[in-house]
Amino acid sequence: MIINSFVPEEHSILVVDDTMANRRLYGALLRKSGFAVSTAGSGEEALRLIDESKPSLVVLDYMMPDMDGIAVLERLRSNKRTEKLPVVMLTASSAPDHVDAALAAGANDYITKPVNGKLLVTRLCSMIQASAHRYQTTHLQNTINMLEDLREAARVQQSQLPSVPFRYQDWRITGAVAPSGAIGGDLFDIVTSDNGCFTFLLDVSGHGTGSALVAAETRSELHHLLRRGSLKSAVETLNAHLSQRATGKYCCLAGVHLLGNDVEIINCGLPPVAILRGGRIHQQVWGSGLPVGMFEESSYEVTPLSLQRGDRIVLLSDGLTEPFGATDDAQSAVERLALWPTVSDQLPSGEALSSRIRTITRESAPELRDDATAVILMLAGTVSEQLKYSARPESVPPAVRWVVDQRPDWADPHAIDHGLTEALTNAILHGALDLASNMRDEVSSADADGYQRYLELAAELPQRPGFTDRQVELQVASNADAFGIRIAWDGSPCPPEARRAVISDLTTTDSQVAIKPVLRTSGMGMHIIHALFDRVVWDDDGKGMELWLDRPDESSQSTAG
Amino acid sequence: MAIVEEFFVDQRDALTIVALPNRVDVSNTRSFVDILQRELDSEHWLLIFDFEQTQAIDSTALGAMVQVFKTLRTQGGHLSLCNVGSGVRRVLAITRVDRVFPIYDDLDAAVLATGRHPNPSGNQ
Repeated sequence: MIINSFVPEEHSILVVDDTMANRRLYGALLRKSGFAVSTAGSGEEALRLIDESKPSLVVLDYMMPDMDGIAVLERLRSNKRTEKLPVVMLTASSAPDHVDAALAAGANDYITKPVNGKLLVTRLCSMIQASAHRYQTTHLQNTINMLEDLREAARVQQSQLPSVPFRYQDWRITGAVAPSGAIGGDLFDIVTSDNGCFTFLLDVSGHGTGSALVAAETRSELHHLLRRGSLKSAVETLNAHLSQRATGKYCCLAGVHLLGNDVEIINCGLPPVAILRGGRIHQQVWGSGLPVGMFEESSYEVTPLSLQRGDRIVLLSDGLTEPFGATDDAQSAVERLALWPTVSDQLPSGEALSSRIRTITRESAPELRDDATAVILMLAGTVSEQLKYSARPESVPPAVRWVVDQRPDWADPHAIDHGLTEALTNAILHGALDLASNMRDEVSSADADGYQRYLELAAELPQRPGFTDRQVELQVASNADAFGIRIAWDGSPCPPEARRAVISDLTTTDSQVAIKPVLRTSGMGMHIIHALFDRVVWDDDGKGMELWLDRPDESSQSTAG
Repeated sequence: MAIVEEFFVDQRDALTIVALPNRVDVSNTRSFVDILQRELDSEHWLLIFDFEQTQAIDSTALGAMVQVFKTLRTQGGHLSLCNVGSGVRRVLAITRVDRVFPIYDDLDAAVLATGRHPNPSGNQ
């Protein structure tokens, strides 16, 4: 209730007096001022009407037969629901001790008879306003306290997440949780013991505080169980315990046990655990058992896998897969979170991953938002070579030749030559030298070949005062299934809108409904780059990009041949 | 097609058919639970959930369904699902509860199969 301007029509007053003439008189006075008025002729009737109609204020006569005003007031003050109901007592001027008795019994104010009509209305108005203000202040304070509690709970929940990226032998682990509200039922954790290293993601059903409490309790119990036993036995014991507790909550869970290059994976009700190799989802591990705590009799199996260096394991909660449709449970989320293996062999920080998760979950409708968590485990150590070049246009040909020489046999040298020339030229001109913004005035829009003019300017630039010679860094990495090239530069970032080649139009041919994508690009020659490479992955800061070629399938190679 | 936002309960002899709305999630699971509790209090132990209008359910709704399933199981009752679309089916598949609930293609098949089940309360 918010009372900024006082409107009498919004308030009802109960007049309690055993004399009918008084009830009529006070009722008429108050109705004339706009109040809704009801009347009671006895204390018993007053208590019944207060219970039924919940008036804003009561005008209560002191002297009444059977139950007098003091008795009514005492009943009101002893009831939790009416203890703060404003009451004005009508007392006889000939009995001053009634005033003391009324105030002692809890009356908020008193008016002596005979009643001055104007005084009565004025006093009631100010009392209702004061009461509403008190209610509003208390309500606001309660809300502020509750929000502060939630913020504190959120801080505690985030602080209980492990510090990432986390290193265990050759493994690197990162993760982030983005609750749909202040706090939620998702979390992840890492447990190391004599048995190896365990990483798990928990998603307790529902949202909010109840789910957060169950998640915290489950995490603590799982920690304890994993220190003593295997993934399978820990989950089975946890299921037995959670099933017996009548919280009405269950827990979807995925866990990974790292044992050198071998892993064991368990999935109980979460989207498939994805194994990324090169630019593909190499394998998906679907649930092998029902969510934990749902049915006491559930059984669970682990999936053993042997992984290669550079492989990544991705655990996702359903808050990251549901908005993207049923056909590709993990693929879209991996794509949108940019979780593919990188040339630099780096995992995103917890903050960067959290920011990516919040960005993509914001795209879904508010009613679809759920707690969202991603955890990535990477077996480090892809083969990688690195060189630095001066950020000049003349560096492009030798840099491209170096990369072409590093490529595996199956990688198309022409694709690398054309695509990398485009990417590297733009990285130098627009990124490292920042010609587009520094020298915009010198390239007239009327120039027939603005691009050629940029090249000329780039050649002139080192002779200008204050020129800083910057560098571009090239790095290549390859594994059995993919070849990646990383370009990074100091200078200006590529703006987000220029990083993508956008399919902007759909056209149909005359005779058939064939869809022909038309690529629109806004800088960086991204249409050429996207056409020649299988994947283009940008650094979060826009000052680096990775270009990946995936090894063709055996079948498609033979078809092409 | 109009979006259905209400639960509808229909009684056919001993069978109680609950038609679910477009979406069952944390915002309306309380109503869902209240409706189911009323049916259980009335000793209606043979239930069918009709998902014809339902595009999506969340974990809260799934939790409520599982609770009812367990209650019915202890009473010798029966719960089946029908007209389950791809969105709901995916949630059931990921959590593997599609192996727990009997699922029928349409309401007629669910009525036929559930109707064969003995009615533990003996109510009509």
